[in-house]
Amino acid sequence: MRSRRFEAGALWAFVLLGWRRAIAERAALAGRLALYLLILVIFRQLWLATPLQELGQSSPTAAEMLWYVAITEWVVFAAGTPYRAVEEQIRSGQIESALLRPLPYAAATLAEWSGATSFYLLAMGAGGLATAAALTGTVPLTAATALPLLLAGALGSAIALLFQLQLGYAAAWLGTSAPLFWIWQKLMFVFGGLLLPLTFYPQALRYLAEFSPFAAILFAPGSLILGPAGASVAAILGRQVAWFVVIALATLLVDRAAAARLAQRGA
Amino acid sequence: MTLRSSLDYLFALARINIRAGMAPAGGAALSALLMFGNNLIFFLIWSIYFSNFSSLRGWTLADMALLMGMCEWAFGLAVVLAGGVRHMAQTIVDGGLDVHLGRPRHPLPSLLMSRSLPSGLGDLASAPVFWLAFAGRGFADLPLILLVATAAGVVLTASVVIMQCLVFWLPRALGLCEDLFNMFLMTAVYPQHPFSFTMRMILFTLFPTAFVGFLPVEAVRNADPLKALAMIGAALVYGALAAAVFQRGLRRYASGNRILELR
Repeated sequence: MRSRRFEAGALWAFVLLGWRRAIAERAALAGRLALYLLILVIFRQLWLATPLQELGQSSPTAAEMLWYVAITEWVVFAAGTPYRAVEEQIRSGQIESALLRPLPYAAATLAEWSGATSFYLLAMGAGGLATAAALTGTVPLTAATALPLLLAGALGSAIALLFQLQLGYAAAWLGTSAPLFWIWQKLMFVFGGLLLPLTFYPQALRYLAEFSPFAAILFAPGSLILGPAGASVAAILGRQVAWFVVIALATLLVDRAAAARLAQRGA
Repeated sequence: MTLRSSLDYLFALARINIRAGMAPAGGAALSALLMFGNNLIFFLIWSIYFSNFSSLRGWTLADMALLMGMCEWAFGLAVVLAGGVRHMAQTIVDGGLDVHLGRPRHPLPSLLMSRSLPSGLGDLASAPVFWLAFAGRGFADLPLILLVATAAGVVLTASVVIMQCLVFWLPRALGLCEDLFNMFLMTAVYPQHPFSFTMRMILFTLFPTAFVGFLPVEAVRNADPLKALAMIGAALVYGALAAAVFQRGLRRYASGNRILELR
């Protein structure tokens, strides 16, 4: 019991460490914000140039489409690319000392990333909200939609972080994680609906994408801003929680396999 | 130092750099293959877009394929032949320029050609597929396409050199250099013709991504020799600018005593 409490305290310290580091790295925040805002400006121009009326009477407006991209990109930028840290630790051999700590490496890493991502969710959220509102002249958020959106964004980021830990561990086998990351990132683009809502997809692809974990990361929060098509807010959040559990279990397996490999062959 | 000997030097650098970058061969092939797949997946998004909409202010899926092929070729060429450009700022900050300054030739080519990224081969391989299979271009179009795409590669490399040189003046701006690089790529791979006049002016001058994606595509779409000439001009101007900025930055460079590592 006492050791559980000690572990929880240590994990919380890692969460705070991640949060404080994210605050201290102002240049990184500025860079992320600038890139995020640039994407919003690009997509504002693209959606204004897109003949959305070709979709028929229920077509979304250019403003709604920009808000959709603002939400999905918000989750992507909040999570960032922390897998690189694990990849670098494996390549440099530093992970060996980290694995010897009393706190499990995966738990400590995820706790630190959670702290940083929480900060970025708030900071990027504020930046994205202000920019999208300025670009479109609309704010589709209400008190009733803001909380589910925040929850869906946090859950989406959490699933993304679990994936990133697995990607970082891939370096234990491949020596590098980057090529797998590209594939994962592009699967997020397509199956997550990063730039286009899944409702735009051909039926078969849409069905496939909606039942993938990528949709739980991006489309789930994004669809809340467009108005859930046939799915209630509770169903969207429930699907996210289910995917979180599945990916967490998969991460546990990858963590054990990577630890065994590193113990056997060295970093 | 004759032109012949300079070219021999550059070819020798390229040969050694590529050979080192492609080892081990299995890992290099996997990286290239995954990059190829990565490009195909990205194209799928645009296929979905154009299955919903007839055009994007006059552009169709074929034009998008042409644009993606241009960016892939430009980026692939840059990282295969001059992969050192991706780590240039870090090298400068770490004092790693000493190694290149100790050589009898100008340090910039050896710095740029100090690395080769095998994933770039995947880009180079996918570009012709995008041009010929997805953009519907014929083999007769290839000379013009290769000319403007190669010029785009020079503009891309030169622009990244200028961005990375920022650390000569701002040694703590490593993160900023990486962010600028990402922004550059991000802007290049999207169609720029719907952008406002002001934004396009910026993309033709200060942040010249229009020379990497937009103008080469327009040169091929309209088979316009003037636009092709403009591409060559841009490659020369930005190449010269990059060399000048690097030269200027070198005056501020502080040695990292890395020359000792050579001995």
